[in-house]
Amino acid sequence: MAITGFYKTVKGIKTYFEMNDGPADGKHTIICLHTAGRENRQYHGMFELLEDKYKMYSFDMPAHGKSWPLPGNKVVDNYRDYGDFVWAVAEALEIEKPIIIGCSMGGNIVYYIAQNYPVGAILSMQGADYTPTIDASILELLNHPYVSAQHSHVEFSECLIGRACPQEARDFIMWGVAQEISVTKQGDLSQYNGFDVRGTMDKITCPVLVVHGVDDAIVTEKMVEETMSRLVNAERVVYKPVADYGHFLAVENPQVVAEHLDEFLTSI
Amino acid sequence: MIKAIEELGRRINTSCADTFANRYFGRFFTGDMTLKYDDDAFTLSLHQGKVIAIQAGVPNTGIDLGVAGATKDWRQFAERKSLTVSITKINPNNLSLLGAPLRTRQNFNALAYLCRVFSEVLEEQGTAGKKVEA
Repeated sequence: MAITGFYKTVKGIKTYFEMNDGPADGKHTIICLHTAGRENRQYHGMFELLEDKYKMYSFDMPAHGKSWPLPGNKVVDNYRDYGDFVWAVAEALEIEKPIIIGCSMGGNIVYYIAQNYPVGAILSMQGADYTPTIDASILELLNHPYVSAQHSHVEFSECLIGRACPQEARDFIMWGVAQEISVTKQGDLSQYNGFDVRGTMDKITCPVLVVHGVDDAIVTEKMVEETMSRLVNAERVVYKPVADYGHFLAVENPQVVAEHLDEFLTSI
Repeated sequence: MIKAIEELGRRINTSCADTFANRYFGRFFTGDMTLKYDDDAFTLSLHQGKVIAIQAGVPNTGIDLGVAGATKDWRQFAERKSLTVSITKINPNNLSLLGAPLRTRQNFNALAYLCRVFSEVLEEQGTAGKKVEA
């Protein structure tokens, strides 16, 4: 497996990218979006599995991983700015009609992006169009001098992992908790909590793949089904539930996601 | 219910002690954890992660931190045994957090694990979801 890291300035932010060794002249180019508080290494598994077929990019959102924060050490805290930044990434990489895939907050934002920008297709993992799930006091205390975000959120992440997740992947997910930045996580979960694009889901016309780890108590099957019911104008909607895997699906089981994504992209 | 609480305290000090103290940082906790099940309340007093006293009701000094729920709430909790999940706004039959939010967040993992073990004890004693006299 060959993964290449590089920096590119996007909207004035020094942004860290990684890409696999996939074919540059392939039919589809994929941009991968990480979960809240984390960074692009979540896609190393899929990079390897799909490197013979697809050129794939992932990047650290501003203030995540090795990317710089916004000026004044600010973070992105609303989904519109988040989605617009992702599209600026696609433009910076000069990718026309990118395939945008994301998990959790990334699985949400693909819907906003598809509503507002000319994507080739989207894959939503553990995403929905309305996620008002987190108590306000938890959000407030995420960035408090007397609360360690890295420690107080152990159970928060742990409970989202599916029962069949391999230990190595589980360890990586929990290592991610230990690496989180409090203000960054607060910004992510604030925009996640305020995410509501239900009223404009009919603007989505591109093909949509939904791969859902159903052992996820935060993003439920009901939420996903309600979201898909509002995809009334999408060219195609494919739903692939994955039993016994949970919220960090791209890390927990990259094989099954890669298989579904390849099958989906081959068919469009 | 008192039997379940006493068994909970015993496990926190023995078979579950390492997980409570180290994985979930319970060794840093000194204070009271109150569990309410319907109208029954019990308080476990801990010193550096060890249960040193159990009493019925809430402490005279007031609730430090804790969790409350009706039978249906604890029954739902038993399905996932995650306090995070059970307090998310999308769930019906949520458990309620007691005490100060700041102290709760500081000790959330330990409290969540205490609730998990409590739920396991209730299941093993066949009292989960049932009203039991104290």
